[in-house]
Amino acid sequence: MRPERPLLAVDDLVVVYRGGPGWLWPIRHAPAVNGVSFEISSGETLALVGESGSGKSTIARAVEGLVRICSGAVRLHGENVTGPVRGRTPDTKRRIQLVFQNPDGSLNPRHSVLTILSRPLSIFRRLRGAHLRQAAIELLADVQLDASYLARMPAQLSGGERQRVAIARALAAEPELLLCDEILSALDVSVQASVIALLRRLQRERGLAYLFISHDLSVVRWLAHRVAVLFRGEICEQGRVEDVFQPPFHPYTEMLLAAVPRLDGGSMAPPPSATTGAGPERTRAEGCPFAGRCPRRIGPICDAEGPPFQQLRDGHAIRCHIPAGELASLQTEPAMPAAPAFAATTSSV
Amino acid sequence: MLGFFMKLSPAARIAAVILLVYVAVALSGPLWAPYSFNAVLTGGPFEPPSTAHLLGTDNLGRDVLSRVVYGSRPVLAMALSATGLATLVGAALALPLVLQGGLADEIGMRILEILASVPPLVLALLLISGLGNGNILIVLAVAFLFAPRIARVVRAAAMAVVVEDYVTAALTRGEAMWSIAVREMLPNVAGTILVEFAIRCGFAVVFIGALGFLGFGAAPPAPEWGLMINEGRANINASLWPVLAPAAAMAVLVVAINLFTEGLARAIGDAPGTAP
Repeated sequence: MRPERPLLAVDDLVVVYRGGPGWLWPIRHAPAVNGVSFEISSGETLALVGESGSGKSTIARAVEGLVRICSGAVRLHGENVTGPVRGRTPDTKRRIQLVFQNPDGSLNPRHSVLTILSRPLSIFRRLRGAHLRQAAIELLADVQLDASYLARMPAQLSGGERQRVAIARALAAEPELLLCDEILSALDVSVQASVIALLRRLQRERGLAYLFISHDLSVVRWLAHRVAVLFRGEICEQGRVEDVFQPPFHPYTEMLLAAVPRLDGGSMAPPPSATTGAGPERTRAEGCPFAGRCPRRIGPICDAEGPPFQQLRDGHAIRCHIPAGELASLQTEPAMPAAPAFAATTSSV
Repeated sequence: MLGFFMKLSPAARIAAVILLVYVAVALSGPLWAPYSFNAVLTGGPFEPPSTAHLLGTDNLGRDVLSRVVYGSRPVLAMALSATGLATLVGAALALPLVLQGGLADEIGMRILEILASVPPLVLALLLISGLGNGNILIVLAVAFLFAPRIARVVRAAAMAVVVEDYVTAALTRGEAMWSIAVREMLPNVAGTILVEFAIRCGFAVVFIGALGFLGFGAAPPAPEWGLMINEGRANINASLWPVLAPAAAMAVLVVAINLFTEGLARAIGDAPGTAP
């Protein structure tokens, strides 16, 4: 069903941060990303969800080539581009663009909007002078800002405007894949709505693919085609958004969904003895990463064996020892997060 | 320019005016100085201040005012060029090291710290006695002494900039190292560099004066302030003025530089273009 050669294929990715007092005696930490695999096709949005520290941003930075990859491969159109960004061809750099979480830090405070947009335009599209200026105006129009913004400094822009300029800078390279690292989290809800509408329109018009990192499940449900749920650097559930947000869930997905506050005061029935907050890393290295916090732990097998990926329909996979049918019967409550408040406005754009 | 002046504190404004007077005197001095710096027996030796000699005369009957006025030229030229060179070298060392990071940064900075930890006057005297004398050599020696110290300050500021996402963004689009250092980082550390330059200018004035006092650099009969203080020192019982005048000229200059720098640092702190 999926095309033979996806736009992006990440295969068994492992990233271990080296830390410690210096370069001489690096201390090895537990892997930030451990054996993660996923694919993104053109025009598709894959959302990565998970709690803080689950390795979402690290995956985006590994795809961009900003962190050292210990093992595994990143392939773009089947071509291996695993190495650091400095070693990549200009064309590979052009195709993958990263939009940062915090628009205050991603725009140089001493550069005008024109200067900010002109660097990628001159590097990737070799534009100069009047052509460059024209292209910059078109980019601003793409993100619904007018030409008067060219002369502005970042300090003269609102948070939402800054994030649009940051998106325009990424679009200047004419990318195929946009890595969106929590790009909405610094914005208020109404601005979020307009940025989401913008992302959807760009995807419709240009077939852009997104790796959309978020912890806001209602936004993910609204924007993504497929979802991968991360826990401690490992994918525990992956599939189409409508499958992942319906039973059967992985117990961790179930906990994430139960944690979403509801406006009507009610919430999904919490799983038995749900524990939030940090728990032990895992009870044993070879066991399930979620075993220490799992409310549906079934016994010693959870500590002793890494659970298998149970393949369900349409690429939906759950990594758990509990058979999917049994999970489904335990989890009856429908838990689709409510459509965001701005959904009505978004869908009409 | 005037807007910037208005942002300075009152003390810094006064200091700025004093500095402008010094520059004006250095530039125009030869046009109006009452005597040549080298004209002997323009009056008797050790004359007290009078209308003919506003600051008196020295042991050879030379006009002290004229000598102090002429003396402002080498001290300003040498302090500015030595500090400017040191700032250029320091920034050019620090920015690529910070950007490169890792082992290169560690080794580079340790070398610069070793250089910065040698007492400056000792190192300067070593350099000058080893390589010869002359104003250009003194400028080079002072620049060599100041560059590692400036590099450390620039590095500290650049460390805060290099982690910003706009630098990462420049890396991901494949910008050259020099381009990232100059385009992305330099504008954001320029304020720090400017303030550091100003502080070091004050140090340089004193340092060059000290070298002159010790007999390095300018040779008699050059009107160098440090040298003049040393020459007048022998006859301080006969007349105070040949010592007092150059010493006061140097002290006022350094105080003005320091006050101006303090105001400059504050004014840059809320310069336009920085995020609130």
